[in-house]
Amino acid sequence: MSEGLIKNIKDLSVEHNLAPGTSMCAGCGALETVKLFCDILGKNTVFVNAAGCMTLLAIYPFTPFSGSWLYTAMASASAGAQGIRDALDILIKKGRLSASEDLKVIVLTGDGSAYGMGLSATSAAIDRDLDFYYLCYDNEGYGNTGHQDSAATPYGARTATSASGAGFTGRKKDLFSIWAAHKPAYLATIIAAEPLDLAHKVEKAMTIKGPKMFITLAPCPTGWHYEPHQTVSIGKLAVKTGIWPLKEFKDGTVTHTKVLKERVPVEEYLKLQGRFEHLFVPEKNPALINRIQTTVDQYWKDV
Amino acid sequence: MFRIRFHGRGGEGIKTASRILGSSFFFEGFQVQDAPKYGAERRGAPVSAYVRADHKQIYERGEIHKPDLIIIADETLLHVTRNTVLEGIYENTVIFIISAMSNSELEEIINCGKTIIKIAPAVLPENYHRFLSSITASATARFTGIIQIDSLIRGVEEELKSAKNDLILENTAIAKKIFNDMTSYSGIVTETDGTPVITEPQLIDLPLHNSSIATPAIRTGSTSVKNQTGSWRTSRPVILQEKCSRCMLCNVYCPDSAITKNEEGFPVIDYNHCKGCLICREVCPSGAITQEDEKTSRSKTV
Ligand SMILES: Cc1ncc(C[n+]2csc(CCOP(=O)(O)OP(=O)(O)O)c2C)c(N)n1
Ligand code: SF4
Ligand code: SF4
Ligand code: SF4
Ligand SMILES: [Mg+2]
Repeated sequence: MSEGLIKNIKDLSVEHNLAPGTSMCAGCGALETVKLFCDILGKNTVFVNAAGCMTLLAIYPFTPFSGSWLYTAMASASAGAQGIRDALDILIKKGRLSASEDLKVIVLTGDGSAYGMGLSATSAAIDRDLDFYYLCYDNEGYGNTGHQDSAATPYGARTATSASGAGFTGRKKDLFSIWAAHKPAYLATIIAAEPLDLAHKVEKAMTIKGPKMFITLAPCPTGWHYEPHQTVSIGKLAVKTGIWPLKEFKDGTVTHTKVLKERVPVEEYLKLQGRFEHLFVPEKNPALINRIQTTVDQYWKDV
Repeated sequence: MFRIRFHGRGGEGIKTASRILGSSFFFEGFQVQDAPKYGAERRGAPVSAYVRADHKQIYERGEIHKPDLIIIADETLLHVTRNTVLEGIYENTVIFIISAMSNSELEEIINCGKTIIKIAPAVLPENYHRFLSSITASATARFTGIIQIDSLIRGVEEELKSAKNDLILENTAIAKKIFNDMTSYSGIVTETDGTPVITEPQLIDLPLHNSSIATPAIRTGSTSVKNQTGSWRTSRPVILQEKCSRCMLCNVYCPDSAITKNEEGFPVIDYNHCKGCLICREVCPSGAITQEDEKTSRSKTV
């Protein structure tokens, strides 16, 4: 499948460009993706980070990045990326920066930003065919402020602002389709629990000029209420249940990169997480579980 | 005014403790501020929260730098962030700690000649970590000598109202017990004047620096290695080389870049940074990673 260098797990780098010592929670699924991303993209990077958990990656004078980093307001990371890209282009054109010193510009935001406040600036950046990467780590809530619900919170999940009864009564916004409608050069969903699929997609994106958009599901022990060691198992189940479809969009078509012959019932995924505990205790709520299952089944029927 | 500061680790319930205490003061008719230190509430990371309570309007804001009471819910913090935990001790300060150390050991390590009140984990239920909020809030309420049991229990119930009934009952029961056990310390923490002392700022003219040295610019990458996040661990992963197939999956999935590869191709855990999430143990296909209690392993290696 891959035209890149990474054919199997052994080809992934055992030395990492993202240094340890960050203040992310133990077992953070978002950090796991950022680590893999940095390994593949290399060291010549500048991250543009909207307010969220990952802002705490770089607290001056401490940074895990080997390259540079810029902090922006929640709504404006993509606009910040435009400014940096323009500055780099001008420096190169004037001969003040050699082409080999060029940096990859990567927007890094949470779902709160990507699905909500930052959508407009991102829409405009894609319209302008900005040559950048966007990595949205989707932990399905406003993690940094105590996990309130966002436009990415799934139906039924408990958050700090939907703490009682049936949990969140809204539905998860389909950001992939919204971004795809802009026809960016490349767009994919990924997850750290499937590192090869992730690596192939990032490698592919590196050969393409223009907006390269990524949405990663980011299992979050703190906001989803599970034990940190379960991050990878929960991530794998998100894929096996069909809840997190792995797919890409290129040249006008959507391709699913992992199509399962048989899907695991969503219950297996839900029951590991405290945010869905009310679906199982004090007694099982088949109606709510079925509703979630039906949404997933419907999605795959249309694929 | 009472100025009270809580220290613990993310996930231990320090923020909830400060809220229970804040509500209890409020039910006694006090004006109250309670807040966690924002931005660092990561599970396992050192965190703090504070409560101010006064009979009149509170004009102070921000963190408490001169606490009347310091609560240390996790004694390991004394080894890692001692300066932060003991910051601002003055004549009036009392220290309360949950610790298995002996009194003389504690006095030696805290070393400030202040009253130290200790509860040993041995006298608490085995699963006391689940109730740390209620335990610390209740002891503190007693130390003030002003908060009555009814206000304390109302505070606990108010804060835990979205929890299950059994859990609320367990919490109120332990709060009552601690409140009782601490009777002899009633009133040991006293108020100090809450009138703000406002001194006129002294303005000094400074020449403008060259912007290349005046702007914080990162000239060296990867400086986060200076943060020894290994101190967050409560459990430690240990690799058994004889079982390891050198597949390096643990290295791939470790979120914290805390596993390296040695010359023979075996994975090596960087205990200075490993946060103890145990993802590596979960993903290892050969069962070559075991889990040890951090305190036990540390005492073995020291
Ligand atoms: C305009 C604006 N509103 C609110 C905030 C406060 N705030 C900081 S981080 C955050 C949550 C962001 O959520 P998300 O983008 O999903 O990232 P996460 O915290 O989950 O990593 C909020 C609301 C802010 N910084 N800026
Ligand atoms: S709250 Fe969740 S996303 Fe944020 S640092 Fe912790 S684990 Fe990561
Ligand atoms: S427990 Fe394992 S996976 Fe987690 S930080 Fe430590 S070495 Fe990495
Ligand atoms: S995952 Fe297990 S078997 Fe593979 S390298 Fe790590 S310890 Fe060895
Ligand atoms: Mg989020």
